[in-house]
Formats: sequence, C-alpha cells, structure tokens
Amino acid sequence: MRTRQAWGLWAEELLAQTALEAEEHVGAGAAEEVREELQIPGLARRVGAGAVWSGILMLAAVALAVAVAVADPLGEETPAAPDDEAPEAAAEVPDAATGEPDSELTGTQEKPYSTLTPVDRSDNQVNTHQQPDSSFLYDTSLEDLAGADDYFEGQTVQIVGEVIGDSITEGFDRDHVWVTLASTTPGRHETVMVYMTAGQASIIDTWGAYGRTGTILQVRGVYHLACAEHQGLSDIHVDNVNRVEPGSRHPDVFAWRDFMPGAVGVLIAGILLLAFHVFRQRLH
Amino acid sequence: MWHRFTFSDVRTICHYLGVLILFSTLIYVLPFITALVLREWEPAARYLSAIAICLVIGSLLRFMRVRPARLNRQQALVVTGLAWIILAWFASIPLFGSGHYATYLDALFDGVSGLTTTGATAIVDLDHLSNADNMFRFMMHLLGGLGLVVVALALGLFGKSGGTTMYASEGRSEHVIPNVVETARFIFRIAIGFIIVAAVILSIINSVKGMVPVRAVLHGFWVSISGFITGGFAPMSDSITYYHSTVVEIILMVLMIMGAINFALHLEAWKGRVEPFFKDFETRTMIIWVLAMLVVLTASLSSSGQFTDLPALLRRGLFMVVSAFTTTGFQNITGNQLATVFSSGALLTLGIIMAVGGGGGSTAGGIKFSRIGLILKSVVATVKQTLAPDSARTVVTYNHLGRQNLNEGAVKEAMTVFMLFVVTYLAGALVGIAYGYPAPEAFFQSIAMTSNGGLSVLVGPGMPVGLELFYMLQMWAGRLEFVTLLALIVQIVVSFVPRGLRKAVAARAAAADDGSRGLDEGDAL
Repeated sequence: MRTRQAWGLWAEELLAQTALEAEEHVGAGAAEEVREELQIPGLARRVGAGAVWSGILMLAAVALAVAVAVADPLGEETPAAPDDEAPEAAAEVPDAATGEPDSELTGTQEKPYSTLTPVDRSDNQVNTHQQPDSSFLYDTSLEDLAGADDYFEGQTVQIVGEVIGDSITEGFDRDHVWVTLASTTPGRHETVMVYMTAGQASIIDTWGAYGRTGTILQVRGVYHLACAEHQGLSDIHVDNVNRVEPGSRHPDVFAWRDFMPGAVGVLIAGILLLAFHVFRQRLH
Repeated sequence: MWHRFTFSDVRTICHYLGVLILFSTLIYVLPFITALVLREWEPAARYLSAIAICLVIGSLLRFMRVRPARLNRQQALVVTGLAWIILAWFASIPLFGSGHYATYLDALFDGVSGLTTTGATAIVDLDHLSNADNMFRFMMHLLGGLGLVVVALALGLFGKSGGTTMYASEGRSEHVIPNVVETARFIFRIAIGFIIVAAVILSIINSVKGMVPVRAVLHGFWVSISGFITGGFAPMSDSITYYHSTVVEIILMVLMIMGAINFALHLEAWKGRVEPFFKDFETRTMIIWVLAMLVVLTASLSSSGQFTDLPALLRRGLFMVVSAFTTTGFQNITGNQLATVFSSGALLTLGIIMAVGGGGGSTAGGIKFSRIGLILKSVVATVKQTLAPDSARTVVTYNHLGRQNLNEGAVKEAMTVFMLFVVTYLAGALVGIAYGYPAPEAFFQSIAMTSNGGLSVLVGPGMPVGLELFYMLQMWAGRLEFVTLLALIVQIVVSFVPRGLRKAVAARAAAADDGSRGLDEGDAL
C-alpha cells in the first residue's frame, strides 16, 4: 500500500502534468493560473491524505460491519414467543351476544402457534363475530380513510393495519404516542396516523421497516380529517386496540456470491484506471 | 453560424462525462457502507455492483480522449446538460433493483427527481425501504443540489479551463467569490456546515421523541440534507408529518430558507456584514412575498372549514408556504389533505408560490425573486420613461450585491427565462389535462415539476408513461433553467442535420437577404 508521502508525490505529478497540458493548449499564463488556483503543494498533500484516509475508512467500515454481526444496532424487538406473553396481553374478549368471555378465544392451544388461525390463537383479542351496530361505521379499510373526505369527520371507525416506523411522543406528553399504520392489502401502501396511550401501544412487539413486518393491529376510534386538538392533522384518536397478528423478522441472508459481480467489476475498473494513467504517461 | 460538432468534440465531451461519472461514484459509497454496517446484505451487494458499473463505464469513456483539449463553451454546455440525465440513468439502476418501483421508468423518474432536487417520488412502499436505499436518495439530493459541477469544481476536477463556462451553463449566474473554484468551495462548505449542525439538533430531538437512536440519527441527517438542499425527499411516506413536532418543523423552515437565499448574501453575513443582507432587493422581495402569500393561503384555508383555529392555520399554512417558495416539497399535511382539505384556490396559491420560487444563486428552483424583481423594476423604468420629458434620461437602480443600474441585458435575460418558465408550466398543464386530470391539479403538478418544487398531487406509481416522460423533461429543463437545455438541443440538431440540407437552408436565407436588400435599394431610388 502506498504511503501517504507516495500518494502525495503521485498527486503532485498528476497536477504538474495537468499544468503542462494547460500550457500546451492554453498558454504559459493560463498554466501559471492553473498552478496557483489548484495550489499544487497543498492540494497534493490533501489528495494524498484523502486517499489514505479513504482506504482506512473503508477498512474500518468493513471491520465495523463484522463487529456488529452479533449486535443489534437498530434495537429491534424480537417477537415474543407465545408462552412468554404477559397475561394482560391475552385479555378476555366479550362475546357479542352474551357479553361473557368467549371461551373459544381464550382457551389453551395444542397445535403449533404458526399453524393456528387467528381465531384459535390465545393472544388474539379480536372478536371476529362482533357485528357492526349503530355506534360505529362498518369496518372501514385503511385505504378508504387515507383518501377520506369530510364525510368521515368525527365518525368512529375501525381499521386494521401494520405498525411501521417508530413510536413518537406528542410534545412532552409521555402518556400518549403516535403510531403509523400502513395498509395490509397487497399492492396498497396507504398510511394513517393513530393517537393512542402508551399503555395501548405496549402490545406492539415489532415496528415495520426493512426486513421486518410490523405487528398487525385492529384499532377503533374517532377519525378526524383535520384534528383541532393537533393543529389540523389527519388522525384517529383510538379507543380500543387489539393485536391481530404479531410482527416478524426476515433479515437478509449473507451470501458471498452476491458480492462477486460487484467485486469483479471494481477490480476491472481499477485495471482500467491504471491503464489510463499509464497510457497517458506514455503519450508524453 | 452554428458550430457543428466534430468527432473530436464528441470525444472530448465523452471524456469529461466519464470524469463526472467517475466522480459521481462517491454517492454510492456511503449507501454501501450504510448497508454493510446495518447488515442489509442485498442492498450492499447491489450498491457494490452500481459502484462497479459507474467506475467501468466512466473509465471507458475517459479513454475516448486520453489527453483532452480545453473545453470550449459549446462542449461545456453539452457536458453539463447531459450530465444530469446520464447520472440519473446510472442512479436508476440500484433504485430499480431495490424492488420498490413498479416499472423501470418510475426508478428513472426518481433518479431525475433526486438529482434535480425536485423531490417528487414514484416509489412504492417507502416505509419498508432499506436504510441504504434511503441514504442513496439523499446522496442524490446532495450531489444534485450542490450541483454536479460545483462539487467537481470544488475538488479541482476541471481546473480553470472549462470551469467558468460549465459553472454558468449549470444555471448559476453569480460568482460569490471572483474565482469560480473558490466560489464552489465556499458553497460546498456552507452547505455541509448547515447540514451537520441541523442534523445534530434534529437527531437529538428525534431521540427524545422516542425514535431508536440509529434511526433518529439517520432521519436527522436525511431531512437536514433535504431541507437545506431544498430537495423534498423524506425518509417516510408521511413526509414531515411523521415527526409530529413543531420544533422540527421550525428548524426545517429555517434550514429551507437558508438554502433558498443567495449564496452571495451568505458570504456577506459570513463576513459580518448583515446590513447588505437586509438591504438586498431579493431579501425584501422574499419577505413581502412570503407574508402576502401566507395571508392569501390562510384566508383560503379558513374558508374550507376544516382548519378551525389560528394555530392550525399558521402551523400548516406557514410551513407549506415556506416549503413551496423554497421549492423544497416537504409536507406537514397528508397527501389526502392536500387534495381534499385544500380548496382549488389554496392549491393554486401554493402553485403560484412554487412558480416564483426562491432566491437566485441558491439551491431553490422556480423563476427566482431576482428575475421577478428585475421585471418589476423594468416596468417602473418604462413608466418613468413614459412620464419623463423626451430630453430626460431615466435611470432605475436596485440594490443587489451592491448598488446596480438596471440594464437592458439583465432585463432581457430575466424576461426570456420568465417566458420559458411560464410556457413550460402551461405546456405541462395541458399534457396533464390531456391525460384526463382535473385542471387545477394538472396546473399545480406542472408547476411543481418545472420549478423543482416537488409537492405532488398526481405523481405516484402507475402514472401514464407519456406524462411521466414529460414531467422528467420539465424537471431537467427547470434545473438547467432552460437556456442550457435549449442550447443543447440546438447543438445536437445542428450536428445531425445533413450537410446538403444545411447548405440549402443557408443559400435560401442568403437569397432572402439579397432580395430584401434589393427592395430597400429600389425604395431608396
């Protein structure tokens, strides 16, 4: 590897060559201006130092990537196993007809968790038998709300969406958070912002991002096209939150062969750059 | 009259395009490092491939002319004009590979939008985009906003031989410092300084508000770049609404305004001379214009009945006005609110604000305050001349980086660019209407594209192909402020017109001149 001094000398040579070309094509006066403007001695040192530091930074980045292979820089929350769930998360859901807890939904499960339908899972808090009544609008889709007009203003709505991004507090109020829900319909990506208590948000186990599918929530609350409490923002003030499906992680799998085309290409480019420099020198 | 390009010119142009492509490889390096650090292996491999493609093609192009001659004006115009679209094509390769674009054209659209700092996007599912891809989107803004040529000049890539002509051909009219290279370096340092300071502050605020530290830092860095460069890309699909913070919005407004101010005025403030900053006619025009349009917009919004109180009107209205006049494109309202809560009057008000744009010699787009000011001064001069006696000589002065007399050349340039902008706004609107979109939205979107404003009501995945191509042309033309693009088109046409046809046209023109001269002589007799 070239030392810093060697890089500096190489850069100085290159710049001297530039000045020489300027002299040939433009005249001695212009060449002198080029030399002054480019401040050859200072710039040569900077180029030399820059090349060395760039190399060091690249190596440091690769070393850091290897070092964080066991860390979790994004602070991702892994989905809790069904057995580890806190009792409050599996709250009893009242039956729509009798008001009594529906035993089908809160019973113990014998099949593997992943094979259970949402109705059978013990952590499912959604009463799928609940019928709409006059107290709220029928199950509204998130896509409908994302394109809502003032017809929906002040209406109680119920939507299902994937939690994405982060939990954001409102000012200094730590008791409430903003959660963004994204559409779960294939091919649709609309979002809606919901305002809920920190306690309600505690059932979220995964926040959707690259390599992660967020918790699927069903929320019920009052929709505002331009909320007066939040200076005109479109939002839903949530009354009730249920978790439909926990989130999941699907990180990238490292494979050396995926990097081969790029690495070979960079090598070829390096040869071309060197060849250009040699060719240029020979033309002198 | 028109210089026809020879093969030697083409080789020189290819060489310098190769240099720019090689240089632009830098914008792929930080996304590559980001992907490695955050273990996003697929994006890492993709950006390594993109680096390789740029390096190989850039190196091969340099071979077209191993010892390039000095860049003349026409060559510099072509290099600058083509650089944007060629670099956008390279940028679209990793973007399309991310799988977040419905078609390749959408990825190319985002490449053009990123480099021209428009900020409109056709991306699908932005909220699940990798951090590496998001980093790349903002690197495009940084490169495009500072100007490919400015950054190249700052690093001394072109020396002096082609620097001045390329600087001017990029639509930059003012030399902040007499030396072009030093001007470029100053702009670069100012931009990086503002971005770093804002990034630190925003990262702290994001962390306090509950974001995971890595995301807080990344988002702070990204929106700082987008804000100062007046780009408009945001890391999340909800734009600035995502952060739910008045403080963040205030910081971003300050950042956007700083980016939209003439860099020459930054230099004055840097030297401790604040008075020229406030005396400058661009600053005064900006203050009066923003206040007036804020009143108009808030009045229009209050009539919609949705924004019921003054805090809501001021918070949403002021931010949108600042975002529009700086041609950034940030939103603190949802896209749905822009289409439903904003009346057509409010929408067109925002459109007019974008159409005028920000200060000359800044990162903002649009017609620019300086040109509007010159045109208005020209009107004053005309009225003065009309009212003054025949023997009187009227002089109109204005204060822009010193006391200056209004001259015909400056007014002519301002009027030309003004007319080109207006014609392009209208043409884009007609294309949108032809595709079946409502007229107010079509006008609004056309203005947003040409002024590189970026606020979107029509742009998204699934746009008609013809409309998307026209919008790309508008973004490209707006970034180059038309003259360079028109010169490029003329140069290419002239170079490819068959020699026989050119001779015939020249002969006919000469015959027409002779004929008219003969008539004049006959009249004289």
